[in-house]
Amino acid sequence: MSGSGWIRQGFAIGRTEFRRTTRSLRGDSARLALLGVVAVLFGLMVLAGAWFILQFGDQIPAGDVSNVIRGSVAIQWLFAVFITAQRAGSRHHSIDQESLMLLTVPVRAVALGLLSAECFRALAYLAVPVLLLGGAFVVASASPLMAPFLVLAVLLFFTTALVLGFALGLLAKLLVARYRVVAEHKSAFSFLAVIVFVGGYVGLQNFGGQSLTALLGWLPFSWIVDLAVIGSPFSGSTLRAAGVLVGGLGWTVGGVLVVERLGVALWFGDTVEDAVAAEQARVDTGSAADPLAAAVRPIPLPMISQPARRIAQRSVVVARRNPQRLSFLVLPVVLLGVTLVNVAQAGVGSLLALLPPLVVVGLPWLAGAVFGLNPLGDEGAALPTTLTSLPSGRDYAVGLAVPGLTLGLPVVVLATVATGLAGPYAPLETAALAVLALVLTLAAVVIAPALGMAFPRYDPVRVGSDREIVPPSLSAVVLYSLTLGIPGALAAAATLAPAGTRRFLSLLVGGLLSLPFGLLASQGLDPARGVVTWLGQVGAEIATIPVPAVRWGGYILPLAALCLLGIWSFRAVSRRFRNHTLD
Amino acid sequence: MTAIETTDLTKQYGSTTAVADLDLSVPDGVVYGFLGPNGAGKTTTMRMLTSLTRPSSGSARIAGVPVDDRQRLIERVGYLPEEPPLYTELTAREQLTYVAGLRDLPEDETSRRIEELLDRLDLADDADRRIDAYSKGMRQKTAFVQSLLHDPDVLFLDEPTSGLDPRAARTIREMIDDLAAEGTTVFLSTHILPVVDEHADTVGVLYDGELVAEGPPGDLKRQADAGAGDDTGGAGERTLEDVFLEVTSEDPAADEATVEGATDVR
Repeated sequence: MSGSGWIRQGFAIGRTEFRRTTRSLRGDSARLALLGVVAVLFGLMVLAGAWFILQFGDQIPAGDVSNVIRGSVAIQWLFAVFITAQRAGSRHHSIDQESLMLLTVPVRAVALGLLSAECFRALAYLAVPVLLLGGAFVVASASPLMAPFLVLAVLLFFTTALVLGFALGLLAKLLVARYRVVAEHKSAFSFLAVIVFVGGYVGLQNFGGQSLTALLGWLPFSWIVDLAVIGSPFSGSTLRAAGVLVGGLGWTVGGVLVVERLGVALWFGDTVEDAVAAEQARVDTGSAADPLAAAVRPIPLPMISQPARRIAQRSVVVARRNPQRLSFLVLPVVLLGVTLVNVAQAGVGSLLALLPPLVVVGLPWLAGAVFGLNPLGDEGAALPTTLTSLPSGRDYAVGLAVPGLTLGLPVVVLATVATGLAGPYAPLETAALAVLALVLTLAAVVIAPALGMAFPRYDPVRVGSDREIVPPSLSAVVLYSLTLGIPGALAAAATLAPAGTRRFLSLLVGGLLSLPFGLLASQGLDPARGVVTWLGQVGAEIATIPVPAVRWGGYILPLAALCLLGIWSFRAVSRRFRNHTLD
Repeated sequence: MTAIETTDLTKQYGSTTAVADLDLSVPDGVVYGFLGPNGAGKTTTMRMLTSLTRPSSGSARIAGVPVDDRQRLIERVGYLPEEPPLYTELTAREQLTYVAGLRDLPEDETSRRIEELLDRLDLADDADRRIDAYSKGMRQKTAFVQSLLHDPDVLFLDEPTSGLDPRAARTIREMIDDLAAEGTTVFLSTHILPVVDEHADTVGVLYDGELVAEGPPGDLKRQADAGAGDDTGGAGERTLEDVFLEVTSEDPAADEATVEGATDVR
C-alpha cells in the first residue's frame, strides 16, 4: 500500500459514514421534523445576527484582541471537545461493520474515517451559520483579506477540538474495557463527568467573571481568534496566530495517530465488559417463589387480577432495569427545572406561589407519561405474545394504569398539599388543588395509554452505545400534554386566581381568537366580520361573569371533563388492545 | 377433530396478495410442516391463524374456534414467532412467570411446569440472568417454553430451531414429537427440510401465497419421482429438497411436471 493510501481510504470511510448519517436522518421523520423546527428557529437567529452585523458591523470600534475574547473562544472550544468526547465515548466502542473495516484497511484509515465523518457532521450543522455570520462581518468591516484566515481558523477550531474529544472518548471506553471497577460503575462515572463539565461550563459562562475567562485566554487554542482576525480592523498577536496555525496542524496530525493507537488498543484488545455484564445480568430475586413480585419490591402494588398485576409488574421492572426508556422525559423535566430556577431568581415568594399549580399539573403528567405513553411500542418484540396471551383488554388497561397510580398518586397529593400549605394559599384552596391533583393523576394514567395506542411508535432509537429504546411519538406527547395540561391549568388558575383567569379568558376569546377573523374581515370577507363581533361579545360577557362563578365553574367543568375523558380513555385502551393486529 | 381448518383464506396488502385462497385441513395431533421460500406468505398465514392479522377474506377455525374470536382462540393456540418475543430486561424465569400470569394460569402449578421445562432445555442455571445477556439460542429456547406453557391444542412454530446448537435443536425436535404424540397439533414452519422430512406427518408448500403442494413427505417424494419420469417406483431417489425446488420453481417446465406429478393442489 502506498504511504498516502490510508488518507484516501480514511476520507472515503468518512464520506460513507456521513452519507449513512444523512440517510438515516432522512428515514426518521420525527427527528427530521424536530431538526426542521430547530433549524428554522436557529436560522432566524443567524439571519437576524447577520443583518445586525451588516447594519452595525462598521461601527464596532477596532481594537486589540484581549485575553477575555480569547478566553471566550476557549470556553466554546472546550465545549466542542466535551461534546465530541461524549459522542465518541458513547457510540464508537465498537465500530460499525468492525470485521470488514479492520480486515480491509489500516486502523489509521479507520481512525481518520471516523474523525473526518465527525468533522463533516459538525460542518453540516455549523458551516452555513458560521459562513453567514463571518461573511457578514467581512462585508461590514470591508476586510476581504480576513476571509481566508477566518475559514482557516474555523476549520482549525473544529479539527483540533474533534481530535482531542475523540481521543478522550476512546480513552474513556478503553478504561471501561480494561478496568473492572470502571466497567462496573461506568454509568455513574459518565454521569459524574457530565455534571462536572456542565456545572463548570455553566458556572464559567454565568458566574466566572472576566478575570477567570481571561485566564483561559492563555490556553493555546484560544489563539485561534488571533488567526481569525488577520486582515480585519482588529489586531491580534501575529506570533500567537502563527503558533496556533503550526501547532494546530501538528496537533491534528498527532491526534489522528493517537486515535489510531487508542483504536488498536480498544478494537483488538480484551475487554472485561462482557464478564461484568454477565455478572450484572444475574438477578438476586430471580429464584423467589414469585420472581416478578420479588423484583418490584418494595413497591406495594394493589391486589388486582393476576393478568393485570403481571402487566403492572412487568412495566415497573422494565422501567427500573432500563431507565433509558424514560430518557424522553429528560427535556420536559429540565424545562420545568429551568422555569423554577428563573422564578426563584425573582424571589422565594414567587416560587412558593407558582409551585403548587406547577406540581398539580406537572406531577400527574409525569405519572401518566412514565409508564403509559407508548404501550404498544414498549412491548417491542414481545407484542405478539402479549396479544395472544392476555384475553382481556380491561386487564391490560388496569395493568398499565396501576404503576403510575401506585407510585404517582401519593407523591402527587402529598407534594400538592405540602407546596399548597407552604405557599400563599388558603387551606380550602390547597384542598381544592389536592382534589384536582387526584383527578388529574387518575385521568393521566389512562389518557396516556389511550393516546399512546392511538399514536404508537415502533421505530427504536439508539441510546448510548448498546441500547435501543422506543420513545413515544411526538403526536402522543403533544396531545397528551394538551389534553391534561389545558383543563389542569384552567382548574388550578380558576381556583387560585379567578379574577385573573376571567380576564385571561375574556382576552383570549375576544382578542386572540378573533384576531385571524379580524384579518380576514380586513380583506373584505364579510362573514368573518360577524364572527369578530360575536367573539368580542362573548369576550365581553366572560368579563362580566361573577368571580365565584368563575372559581367554581372553572374548577368543576375541567374536573368533569377529565373524569369523562378518563372513562373514555380506559374503554379506548381496552378496545384497542382487543382489536389490535400486526397488519 | 380438525385442528386447523381454513377456507379460501386470503390476505391482501393493497394490491399485493400475500396469501391467496388457502384451504387447509389439519387433523389433531399431527406435525404439519409448512414450507415455502422467503416472502411466500408463511408468516402472514401463521399470523392470521393466531388472530394477529385479520384475513381479507375467507375463514379459518383453530380447534373449532374462529380466528376472529381472539379471546377464545388464545386459550387454544401457542405461537413462537421467528423473532423471540421476549422482554430483554427480564430473566427467563420472570418472563415465563409473566406470560403464565397473563393467561391467569394457577401460580403453583405453573411454577412447577416452568422449572420442568427450563430443566429439560438446560436453561435452569441461567434462568435468573437477564435475557439481554442471553445468546440467540437461549432466547429461542425461552420463547419456545413460553409458547407451550399453557398446553395449547395447536402450536405454531416459526423456525423453532433457529440459532440452536445441535443438542438443543434435537431436544426441541423431540419435544415436538412428544407434543404431537400427546395430541397437540404442531404447525411447523422451517427452512430446515430434513427436520420436516423426519418429523412432519404432512407437508404443505406455499409459493407466492398459494399452496402448491401438500401431502405426507413420502408421498410427495414418490409423486415427484413419477412427475420427473423416474420409473424406479421407489421414493428413495428424490428428497424433499428436490420436491421443494420443483414446486417453487419459476421454470414453467418444472411447474408442469409438478402439477402433473407432485401435487393436486395447484
